[in-house]
Amino acid sequence: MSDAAPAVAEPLAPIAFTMLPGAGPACEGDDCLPAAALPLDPADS
Amino acid sequence: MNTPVKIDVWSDVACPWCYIGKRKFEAGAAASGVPVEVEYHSFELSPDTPVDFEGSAVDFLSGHKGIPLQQAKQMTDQVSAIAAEVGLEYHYEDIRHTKTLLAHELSHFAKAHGKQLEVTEALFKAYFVDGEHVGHVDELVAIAESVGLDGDEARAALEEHRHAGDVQADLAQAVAYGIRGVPFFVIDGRYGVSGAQAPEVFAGALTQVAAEQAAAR
Repeated sequence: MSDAAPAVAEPLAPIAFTMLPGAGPACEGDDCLPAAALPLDPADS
Repeated sequence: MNTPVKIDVWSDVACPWCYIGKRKFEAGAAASGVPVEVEYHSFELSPDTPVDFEGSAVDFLSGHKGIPLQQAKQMTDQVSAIAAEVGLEYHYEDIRHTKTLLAHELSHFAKAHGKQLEVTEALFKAYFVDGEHVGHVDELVAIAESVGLDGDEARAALEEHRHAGDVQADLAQAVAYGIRGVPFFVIDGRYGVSGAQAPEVFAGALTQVAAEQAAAR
């Protein structure tokens, strides 16, 4: 066996948490500045 | 003395909301008075970013979204204004856009030596405030030394990728949790908070968890 992927240090914990309501601004993928959330001034376009 | 509440944070160095969220969390934790133990975990937002991207973050955004530079700058200006509200002075024009995988390895090296929070803060500041490159070994060693870590040890760890497995474990854990965006906070392993929410949200969650822990004792 060669070129094995790095070993995962510990077993993954079960998904057991509860999401609190609401969400703040976040980056998803490399999209940190969604245009829809940041309306631009039409006068500048 | 209350037991500290464990906070696991998934975050990326190149995530503007993660630095803002860090400040908001810190404000909420301070307001709650609940002692916390914070551990940062790796999340790589843009794995295909080259280490040596030529241009600023504004250039990258313009090219990536296919929008004029002026429009990209207007968007980053809005984020900078929000950062300023929490006391952070972002300099988007100076940001050195790069792959952050090696910076995550430094974070794990620092964790192993009890300095992860210091390195996390230093990496964010280097990237968003000081316009430093965080994708090369030399610059990362300098950051390690700036928080009191041994530079030679840090260099060896980075060059030999001693913590690559730890980074991959964090990324795998994020997938297992269904985390798609950052910052993402897991409080006491029981409550998830998505994004850079208001300090009051963190304060409320910490107060609730502390009360639940006290009731269980």
